[in-house]
Amino acid sequence: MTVVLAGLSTGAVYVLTALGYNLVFVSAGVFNFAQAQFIMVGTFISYWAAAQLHVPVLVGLPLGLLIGFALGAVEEIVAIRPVRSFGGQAELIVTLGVGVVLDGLAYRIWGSQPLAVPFFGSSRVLTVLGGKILPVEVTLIAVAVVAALALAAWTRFSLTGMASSAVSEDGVAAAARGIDIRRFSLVSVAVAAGLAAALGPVIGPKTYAVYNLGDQLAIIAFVCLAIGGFGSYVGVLLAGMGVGLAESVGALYLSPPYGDLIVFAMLLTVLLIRPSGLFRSAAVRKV
Amino acid sequence: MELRRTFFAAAATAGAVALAVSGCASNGSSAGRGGASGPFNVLVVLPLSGTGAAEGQAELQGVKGAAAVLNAHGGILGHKVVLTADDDQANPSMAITDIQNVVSGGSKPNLVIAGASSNETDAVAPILNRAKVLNIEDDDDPKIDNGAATPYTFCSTVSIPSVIGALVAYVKSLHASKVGFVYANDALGSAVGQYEAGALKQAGVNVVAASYSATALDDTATLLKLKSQNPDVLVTEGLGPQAGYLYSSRAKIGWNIPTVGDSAVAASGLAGLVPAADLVNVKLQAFADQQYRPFAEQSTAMQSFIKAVAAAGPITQPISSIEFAYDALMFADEAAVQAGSVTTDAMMNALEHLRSTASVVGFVNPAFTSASHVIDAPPSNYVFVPAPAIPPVFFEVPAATPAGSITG
Repeated sequence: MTVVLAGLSTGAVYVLTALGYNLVFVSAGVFNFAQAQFIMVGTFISYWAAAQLHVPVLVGLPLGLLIGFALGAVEEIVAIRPVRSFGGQAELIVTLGVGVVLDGLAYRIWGSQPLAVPFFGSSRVLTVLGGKILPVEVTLIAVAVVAALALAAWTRFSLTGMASSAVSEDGVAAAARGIDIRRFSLVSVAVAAGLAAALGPVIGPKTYAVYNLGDQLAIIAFVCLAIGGFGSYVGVLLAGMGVGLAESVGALYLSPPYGDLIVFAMLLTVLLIRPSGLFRSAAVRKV
Repeated sequence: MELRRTFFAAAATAGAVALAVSGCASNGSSAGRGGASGPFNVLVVLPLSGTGAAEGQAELQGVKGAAAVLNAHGGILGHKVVLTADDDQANPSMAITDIQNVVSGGSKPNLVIAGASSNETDAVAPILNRAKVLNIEDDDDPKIDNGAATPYTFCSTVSIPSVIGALVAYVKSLHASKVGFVYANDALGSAVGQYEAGALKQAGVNVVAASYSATALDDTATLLKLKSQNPDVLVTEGLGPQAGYLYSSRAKIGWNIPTVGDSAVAASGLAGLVPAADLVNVKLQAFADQQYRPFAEQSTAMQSFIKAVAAAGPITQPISSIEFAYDALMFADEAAVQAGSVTTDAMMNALEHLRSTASVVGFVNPAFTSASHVIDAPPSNYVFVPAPAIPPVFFEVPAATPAGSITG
């Protein structure tokens, strides 16, 4: 059971990263490669709050929200908006560039050594269903589940949520119905960045604050999105948890390389059988 | 550990930085072979910007410190030491270009110190050997520490086998009936890890080994798998966050058997990543001189080193990086003094038969041979200390030392 819980807690980190990608993709129609870097920025902000400002680590949450929001807005205005008319590849490349810049800035400011982010709760190991788990890991799983369900509910039941789906599915039609696409894109990129950075007090104690954390999370988050289905928050939740479990159980019964292999075998299988992802209905696309 | 520096990717900034440290306005036209009155020219090629800059700047700090100490005593055999530093941004291609520009320019330096990673040193060593330029690197790789293949290249750090030899000797001394060994599954972790596991087996230790994913955020499963085989001692390999994840997972499953962290784990700042209470029964491999000792109790050579490098700037990197670079120049000085000459061949021969290494600080009685141009430090150069006992800075800097006081 300890292995299962470890897999779920790792999967929760993947889920929280992938949800940000999904939010931007759904609302702005952009795959923002720098999204995972905002998680990294959030861990450093929490470290900064706790270790250098000497305030409770939870202060990292509003700080991360504000700083992440500002950085996301700058990214949308400076990097994404100018290349909108050039198509998806241009957006991918510039957001990748933003990610590299954020990595470099973090390295420049905080260096290459990992930094510990304290957890706001207990550090005593808990026994859950006979398995060992840390309180921070329980928190991660809970936050991942709540965030995914909340975003799914927002998309399905709120006006702005439905508008976000409309923007990603057909921007021209959405604009014709009065949705301000530019503003929607700006707000969604900024909000997704802010939310990711606000997760620092929860993710940081598990991952540490490391300048290349975003690079490490980006690929696996992309895999979770592809398996779960771009646009499906519930799909991302299940795929992220599944990937975490596959890694963990694979490492126990096989060896770590096989755990990675299982994850990519899952991806290939899904892409072959259901290219739109497990939890997203297929749609006709002009190619 | 040296190999791990190759993790640093090539940086994106451009340009070369050249600075004269010792007070001479130029070095390019001076007698390259150290004429009677000319300077002793040292070309330093290191990553001074970009992602490898922290390591490169630390090494430059060591070389600057050594130059300051030597120049304060009249230089090397009366030749003032002049440093020229080029920024290779951790990029082997840029290092090659820098070196080629210099050696083909007709004014060869007396000494080259190049590269903060084996990527760079491996790239430039063949060029320097073809040009018959003495180079003392502070990064080891078996490709360049062979005296027969690269006679003009020496390494002022220890050989990887000697680091591992000390680890094996220590683990053997624990008299474990079975040793669990866990290492990262990335290319470098596998290379070092398998080398360490193989050396333990060769020494007659019963080893059960398992690798963990270098990108994993949690190593619980790997450790539980190893635990099920009931080893009574655990040996770990891992760098940076990997080491933190490994030891957090160890604490979570409550596995407190005697555990040894290799030199990579020791360099990871483990005490800052994992609470001290979770590091019960953990010992880390460290160089003997990394143990804290009051300044007054340090050797004269060590006191000179500490003062000089502290004056060259704040010390923010592991002291070994600074020491090995400092020692590169000190080895050159010892060789020149013994040979009574600063000509390349005389110094090279002297290095292979050094009688005195009094000014060298990294190791006790280090020696090169004609076959091995790297230091094979005996186990006495290493200590295994309780994990929380390794502080970020290992020695005391006298308060009176003005930081950054070395000027032109």
